[in-house]
Amino acid sequence: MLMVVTRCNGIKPRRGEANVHAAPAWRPAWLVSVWLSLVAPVPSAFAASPSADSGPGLTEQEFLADVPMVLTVSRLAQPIEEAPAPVTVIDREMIKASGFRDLAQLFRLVPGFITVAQRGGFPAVLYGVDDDFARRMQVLVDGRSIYTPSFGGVEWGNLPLEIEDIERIEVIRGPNAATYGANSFFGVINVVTRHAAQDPGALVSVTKGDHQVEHGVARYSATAGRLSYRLTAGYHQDGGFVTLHDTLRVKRVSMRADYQISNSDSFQFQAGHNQGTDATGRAGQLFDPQRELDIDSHFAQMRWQRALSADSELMLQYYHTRYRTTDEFAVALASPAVTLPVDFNSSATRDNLELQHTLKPLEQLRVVWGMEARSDKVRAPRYFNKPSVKNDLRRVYGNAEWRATPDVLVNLGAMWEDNDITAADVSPRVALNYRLRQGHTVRVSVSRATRTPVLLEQQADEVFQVGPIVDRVLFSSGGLRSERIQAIELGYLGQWLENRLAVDARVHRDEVEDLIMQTRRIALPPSLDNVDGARDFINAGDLTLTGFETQVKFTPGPGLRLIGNYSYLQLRAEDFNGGDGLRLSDFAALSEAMPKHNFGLLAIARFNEQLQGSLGYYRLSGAQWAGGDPLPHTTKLDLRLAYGFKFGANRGEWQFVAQDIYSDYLELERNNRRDMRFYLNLGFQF
Amino acid sequence: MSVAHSFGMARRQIAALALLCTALLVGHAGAAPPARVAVVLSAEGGAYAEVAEAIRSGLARDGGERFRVAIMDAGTVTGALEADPATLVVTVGMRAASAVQEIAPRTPVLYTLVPKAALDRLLAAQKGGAKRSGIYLDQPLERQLELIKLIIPAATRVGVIFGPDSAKQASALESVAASIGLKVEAEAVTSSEQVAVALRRVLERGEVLLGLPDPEVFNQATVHNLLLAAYRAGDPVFAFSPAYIKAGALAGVFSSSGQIGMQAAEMIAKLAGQAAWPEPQYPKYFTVTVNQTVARSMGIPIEEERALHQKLQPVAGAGS
Repeated sequence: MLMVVTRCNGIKPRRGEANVHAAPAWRPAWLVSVWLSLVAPVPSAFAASPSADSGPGLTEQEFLADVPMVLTVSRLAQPIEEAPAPVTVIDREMIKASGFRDLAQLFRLVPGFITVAQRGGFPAVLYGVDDDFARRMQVLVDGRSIYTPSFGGVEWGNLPLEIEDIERIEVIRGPNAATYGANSFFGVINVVTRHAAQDPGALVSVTKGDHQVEHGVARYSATAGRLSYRLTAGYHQDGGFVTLHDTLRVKRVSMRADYQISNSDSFQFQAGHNQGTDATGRAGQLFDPQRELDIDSHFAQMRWQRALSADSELMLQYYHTRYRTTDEFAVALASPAVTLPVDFNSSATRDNLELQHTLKPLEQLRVVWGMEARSDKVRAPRYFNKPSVKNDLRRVYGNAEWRATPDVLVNLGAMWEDNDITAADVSPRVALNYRLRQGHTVRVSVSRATRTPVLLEQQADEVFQVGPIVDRVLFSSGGLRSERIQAIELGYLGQWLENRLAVDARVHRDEVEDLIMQTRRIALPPSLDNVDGARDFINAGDLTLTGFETQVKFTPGPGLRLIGNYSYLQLRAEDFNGGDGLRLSDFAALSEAMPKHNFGLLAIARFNEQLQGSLGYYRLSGAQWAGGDPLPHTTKLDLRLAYGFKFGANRGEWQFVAQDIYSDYLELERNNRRDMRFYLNLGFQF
Repeated sequence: MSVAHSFGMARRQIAALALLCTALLVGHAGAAPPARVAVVLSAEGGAYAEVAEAIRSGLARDGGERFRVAIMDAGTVTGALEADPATLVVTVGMRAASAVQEIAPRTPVLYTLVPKAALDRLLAAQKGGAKRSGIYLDQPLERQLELIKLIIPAATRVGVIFGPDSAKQASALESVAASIGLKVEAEAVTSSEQVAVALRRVLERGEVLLGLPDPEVFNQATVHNLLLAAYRAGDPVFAFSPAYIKAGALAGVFSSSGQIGMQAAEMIAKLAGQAAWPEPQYPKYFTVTVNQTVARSMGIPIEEERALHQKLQPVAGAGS
């Protein structure tokens, strides 16, 4: 997968009470049947040994025969020093060593990134300036946008994706609309899953911990002739914060099939389904009682790729996603006799078609261009006061990478996007990478990006009505402009000590215009509201971010690896636009909304063939969290021990993980407290 | 991507001159009828036809009027040889080699386009007496390992997965590797299903992966996992065929059909009429191929193919 320039680029054997949840992981029968129908056309391939194709023994055919293009241009990572933006890669070793079981937590390993949760099952990954809805970052899984169209952000707890199936995560720090489209505002997360051929065999992993932690993952992958496929099923339960009613329970099933049509053409099909409950609410809260939300999501994605040559490729991709939350309860008004049925149900679907062409027209020039059409539909009557709302968008993008001299690389890119919510935008970027000498590169880049308001910001109309009394809670007056960012940065990438020490550092300055904020309650005409006004969304003002970020990867010796990151961020919210319902002080508070210092360290030690240990230390300075409470600095210390063993030709591993062992850990709100927790995991591969 | 270079021009001229001198001394120049060379192809077209064509043009250039080349198909070779008996048979590919082996003529046979393992088996099965030799399709291990040293000078551990066919080379590979300061980290498999586990171990211990041809190790079913896993592990793959370079291996040395044919023509010109035939030889002419896209992505600084080829020349003849 070429980063930045191109885009893409678990059965339930729970320990003890296996009978309780044994069947449900397999419930989405349609998925299994889709999988079976894919596998069915090649039954003979199962019976035949793969070597049958190549005849008995070694012949000249081994030397002469053509084989499929495997490392096509979109599967190859761009060297970090040639990328037009800073890129952090989270690899499989880091994922495992971190001890994190939830995808969102992994971003603690990225400079400047913050993971916080309003409640356990609903974490948010923040970068730059954001609140717990995290609307200012694009998130993709294999090129499929999982940024939700309705409220923005990502439903991290509602994704049909197991951590075991992730190949690596590429995080681009800084705007990157030129290649990833609008909403690639402060950053882009690109999760890349493993090719179906990469893990032949079966995997079973069971985890049990305190705080209701239980995970079970089972996976089977195989290759039959030209088809490789993988089926993964999982069950996950986590009690979340000790102080909250926020237990998350989900079951997931996902599959991926890679079919090699010819040596240059490949077809990929992926599908997944996630279903579960997400506890929320507080005891004694009339309008937010303790309850369980039913959540589910599914997706189907297909991609055809043709390798035109080693340097050029054509890709056509279509995907469909749906996220759904069912949240219905009754509010007892005055007496149990007068109840108000409330539903916050929501459902959001996305259909997306994309064509991308990578080519190398000249020896020194590489070009990626593409176009995309998307249709988002949201049904959330409570929030919009109408059956459904929608947004269609179209975009065309391109990036040219020109190697002016062997040491100078120039990237020029732009994206044009038009959507139903705001006017068409053009987001350009220019970057220059200069190699001082082998292993030392400086990068200067200037880029612009926009964030289109999400449907809620533009069209919210949340109304409660009891008899003649109308209470509007949210009311978008509409007419929002896109948020715009102009970013300039200077970066350095260096390799030291015979490549055992890699340094990535940058200073950046980002000017954000027309930041969208929620207002305090504003008065509405009595015809619209009889109670106390509603909240609106407005383009509140401009702010400036200046900062420094660094990541250091160091391998002091065999068996020890250190990954450290640090960031300093200064926010200045100075240009207040004024506007109804918002005070200067509300806007100015943004200056303190994010921690100034963010430090993380992951140390991975291999003691011997069997025993591995890792330590994760994460520290955030204090902040007056947007969407949360003012909190002092927080420190999180995690430890993991892993013991690998063999049974016959197969491999197994015990893992013991202790999290938050240094002190209790507060997140976003005073009430959101995590205390020390443990879990034990046993995994088998055969 | 691949650039073939012709080398050994001078050597060829000297060989031709030597032949001419011998002919003059013996005094049969021009007088003897041309030797009949039957080139037996395993299949029509493709690499087989390229070898035949290179033999024909090589003999026309070096042998003058001394040779008459007839091209035959392995399926009909028995009848064809009866109708037009040959002084010397050249087989191209396994099928042709087996066909000629079966009819076992007393005629001298030069086997080409056959892997070393198969050629050694053919020669071992040969009853003594008849003149037999050949050109291996495989590159000498020295040449393959030297290429690794040239591209990754810091490499000390070479990962290899042996299959049922390639396992015979294990001890040879280890001693050649040791002689140039490399250690072989090997795993052996007996079937394709075991490749994934072996690969994981080999990638953990080795710094590069050397591909040795074996249908149980390198095939359609394993190629994705092999190349993707090696790439993700940061271990460059050195391959045995241009197709694997195109698929995503980093580099390799190979001989094209034309290069094999050229060498065959030289051997025929030299061996015709000789009483004792030498042992089979490794390819003399070869090409270095690099996948620059993969090299760039892996951050491996790599020289031009031509420069690498020139540096490999001094070890080119070794091991034959």
